[in-house]
Amino acid sequence: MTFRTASVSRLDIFKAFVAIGAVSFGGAQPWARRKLVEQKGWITSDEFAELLGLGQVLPGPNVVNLSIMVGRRFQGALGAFLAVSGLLLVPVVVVFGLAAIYAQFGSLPVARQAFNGVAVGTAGLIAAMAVKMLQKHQRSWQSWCLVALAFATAGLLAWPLWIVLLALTPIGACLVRWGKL
Amino acid sequence: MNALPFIVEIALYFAGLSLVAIGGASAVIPDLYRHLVQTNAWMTGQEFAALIALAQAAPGPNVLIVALLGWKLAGIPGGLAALLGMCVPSSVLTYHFAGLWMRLEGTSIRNLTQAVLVPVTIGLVLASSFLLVRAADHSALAYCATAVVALLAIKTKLHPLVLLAGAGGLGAAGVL
Repeated sequence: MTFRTASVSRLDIFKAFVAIGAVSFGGAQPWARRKLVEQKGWITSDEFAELLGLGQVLPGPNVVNLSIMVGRRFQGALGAFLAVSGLLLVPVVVVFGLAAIYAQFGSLPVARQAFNGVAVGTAGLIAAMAVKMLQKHQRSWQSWCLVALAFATAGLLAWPLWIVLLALTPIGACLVRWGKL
Repeated sequence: MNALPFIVEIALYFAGLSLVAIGGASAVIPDLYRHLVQTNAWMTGQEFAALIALAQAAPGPNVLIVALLGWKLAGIPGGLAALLGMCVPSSVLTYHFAGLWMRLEGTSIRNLTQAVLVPVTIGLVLASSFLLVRAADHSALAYCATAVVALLAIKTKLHPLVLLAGAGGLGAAGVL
């Protein structure tokens, strides 16, 4: 990745990320791509994919990580801070507003059933995301094993996440190495 | 329970989670469920599922789920503690290590890490989906509805909010 010296001001960064946060229904990734790559042209499509991939292997929320890296590139630490605060500003206000409404009406039977339905739908969207990730990933018996082990340990056995990662990383490394012999 | 230590406890739990949250917010739902519902019983499975559903109605990254869960535990301060806890440690790490990871491009250590972490993340995301249906007040039909929404999301270009509205409507009608 080449670090261009584009002149993107702190205000530009903040405004762009406020705009991303304010409209990004259903996950922020496509909206971030639209704004940063298609509308502003601050980074190329490949750079976006690279930063997002990086956001995936580093711990933490993916789009927050992406914002950190984009903000940092143009305006250093302050840019990173402005990007993330801009991204979260509107959604945080909206989400606490929704929380207040939920506190008021959430216990009504109809609202409870509706939330239940939305939760069931959300589970479907999350499953779809997993399938799409799987489609893009190189599938081998080793990766199927790891998918199944992660599902079983976190979903069925309820192991804490850090134990899951601690256990599966060496197992996965052995499986992948073994597959290459 | 004294209010301040509980806020600190919330922030510390999420800060710890932040540093292992590979795959983002959708991959930590199993750990959130284990900690908040199963271990501490701070909320019921149904409340947990409802709050995650509610987060979908707000714009912004999925990490806002933790703000709502924190809010349930200790109001707006709890929500902010959870959100900051979830974002700050990983952001500091990302800020410092992003460059290092890019320099590892094409090396075997990076390829190996990716070959292991991507499928593990996929398994975690699948577990999130499963736990969410289980936490909701579920029937056999609910699992079917989840599968249908997943299929539509994969095969069609329907907007996610349309799918959620449909599922919410079925729920309100008492079908699920």
